[in-house]
Amino acid sequence: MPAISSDMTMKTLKGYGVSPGFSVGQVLKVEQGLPPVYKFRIADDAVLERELLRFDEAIARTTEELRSFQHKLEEKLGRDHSLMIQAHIMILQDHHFSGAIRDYIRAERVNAEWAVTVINERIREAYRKLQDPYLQDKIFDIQDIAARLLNNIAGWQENHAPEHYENIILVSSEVNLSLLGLMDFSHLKGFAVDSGGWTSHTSIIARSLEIPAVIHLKNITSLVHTGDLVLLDGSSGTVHINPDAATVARFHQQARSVISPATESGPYCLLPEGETEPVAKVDKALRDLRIYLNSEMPLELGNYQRFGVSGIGLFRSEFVFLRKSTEKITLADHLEVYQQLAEAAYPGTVNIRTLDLGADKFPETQGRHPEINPALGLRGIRLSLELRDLFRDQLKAIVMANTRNNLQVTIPFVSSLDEILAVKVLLRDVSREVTGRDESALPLGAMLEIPSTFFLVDLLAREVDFFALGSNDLVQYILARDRNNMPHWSPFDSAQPGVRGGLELLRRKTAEHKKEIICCGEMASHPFFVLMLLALGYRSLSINPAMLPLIRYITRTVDGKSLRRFYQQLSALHTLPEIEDFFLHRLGDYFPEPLVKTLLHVYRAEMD
Amino acid sequence: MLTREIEVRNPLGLHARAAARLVDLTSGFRSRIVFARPGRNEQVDGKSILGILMMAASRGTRLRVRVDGPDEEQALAAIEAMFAGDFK
Repeated sequence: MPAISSDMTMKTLKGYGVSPGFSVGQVLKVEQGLPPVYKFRIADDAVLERELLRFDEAIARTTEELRSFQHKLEEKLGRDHSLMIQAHIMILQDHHFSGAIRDYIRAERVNAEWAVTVINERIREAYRKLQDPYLQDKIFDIQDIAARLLNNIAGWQENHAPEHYENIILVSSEVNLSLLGLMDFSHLKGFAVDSGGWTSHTSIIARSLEIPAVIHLKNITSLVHTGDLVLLDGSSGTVHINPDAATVARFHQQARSVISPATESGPYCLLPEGETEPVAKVDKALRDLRIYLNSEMPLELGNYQRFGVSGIGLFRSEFVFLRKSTEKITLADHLEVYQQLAEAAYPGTVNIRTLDLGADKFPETQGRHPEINPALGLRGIRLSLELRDLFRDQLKAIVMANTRNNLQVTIPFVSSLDEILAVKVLLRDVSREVTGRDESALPLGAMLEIPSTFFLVDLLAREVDFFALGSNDLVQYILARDRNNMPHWSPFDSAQPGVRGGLELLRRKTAEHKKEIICCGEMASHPFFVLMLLALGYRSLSINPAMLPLIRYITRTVDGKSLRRFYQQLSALHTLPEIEDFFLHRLGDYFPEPLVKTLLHVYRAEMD
Repeated sequence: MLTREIEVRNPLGLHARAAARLVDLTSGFRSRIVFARPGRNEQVDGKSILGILMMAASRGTRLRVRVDGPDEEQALAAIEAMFAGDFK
């Protein structure tokens, strides 16, 4: 096999920056079917030998697995088919595969997982270059073998506790939630992805982890290799691959001069020094404004107090579920997280959104419900009612953790009244078990994210205490359009007349019933669409912590009159090009110039 | 050292199963076995399935095989027989 050399020349790519900040790290290319790995260097010779042993044991286990599979296949289908598995065993044992991995571990002094990922990628690339259709299929076989091997390595105990992990920049075509569930965030320093949008999972997670992310890089997955050095600028959307020394130096200098927006004096946060109560400055039209934060882990609110935060408006509880396999999740796992949450956010409130995943993420339901279209399938509250014991545990843990009286429950993916009624029965049940009283022990809210709720909101208002607007899903379900599907996606979809009409209706109806409606989706963290929400009269926003200074800057700069004029004009626009032009060029007619400049900067309009 | 040119004649070419059979055979000999496609510089190790697959040898491809070692005659004869019998 020809030597496979990596192309080490410097390349610079431009995409959209969707989470600000600067990062330097090594590429980890994650492809479908392969678990994400981490990287550390091994200085000690004895540890290195143990790592090689660990790898050899994994090879032995994988061979054993394939052999038993081969026997099974031979009995059922005959020798001709079992030979395919023989081919897999041969690939595994091949000195171009396991031999090369072993050499890499020894030469680079790295952990086995990292070496498998690098060598797998090199072989795949060599095969891909041959452009032989038959060999393209073989690439999947090699991938399959690598995945098996990685599983077996991970199944063994770690050889030692490394002190120093390398910084990882995750490169992928698009990051999905289950992949992130497997990821160890402590080494993750950024994302660079081919596709995606402002509201795709990558962008949302990156902003809430406060690490930079660049999306829409089109083909970065085919331009980099695992282990390449990259510089990531999540503000301008620039990615340097294998940079030269001068670029690295320039980058470091730039990174030092810009302060992250979450810190006091970042470029988006214009709070004067010493001012602790920005809320006092807002126009009277925005006096009743409440700002909450979105989070997927218990968050100390102390750092955010100076921005005036009412609590956590959306706690995504999926991470409690994704950490373990479902049969292993106990009430105690939930309880531990919710107790921390209640404590950390006090005196602020916390809205815990119950499980909001699709059945495709759960082995229990995968077999029973093969889903052709998971977006319209068994997810959110539908899945919770199906996995009732799991759901009961979650509700009970929330009630038990509510000793500070600051927790609330939010139900995702509500499409009918029946679902809310079923939840209320369960909630009353678990409340009785915990408190002895026959009434719900905490406030209940329904997510409004499915268009049927436009016609249900009056009925729902009688049953729930508050609402949460899930704008990401709402936009997708109104337009029947996948937000990750770039060619047919417009960043201005959120301001389309069809979407605006829905938002107007929900705002009006919830106000009639005097129920709080918390805007939890990305719209509330978006430099343009938050203006629209404010103009429509939405007064509770739950945003990503990294966006807090920007949103506060907006809310203390705009006033009721300018918002009204702004929306009057926007609501007269009916087509996407008009709406896009309005946001990119006409905001100055309504709002002060420095604010507009900041908004455009955040949106990166000047780059396009 | 023995060198011979042989043709891939089975309809599917040197695909995974054929390659697995070939490597199974070559691995049994002590001699060094190397394949090359005429006109290409790269030589592949006849005992490596990844190497054999990399040749992407479809039906009609002519390959040069070089066998070098104590059992080279038996090895070459067995390889030729396998190619002639379409890797059955």
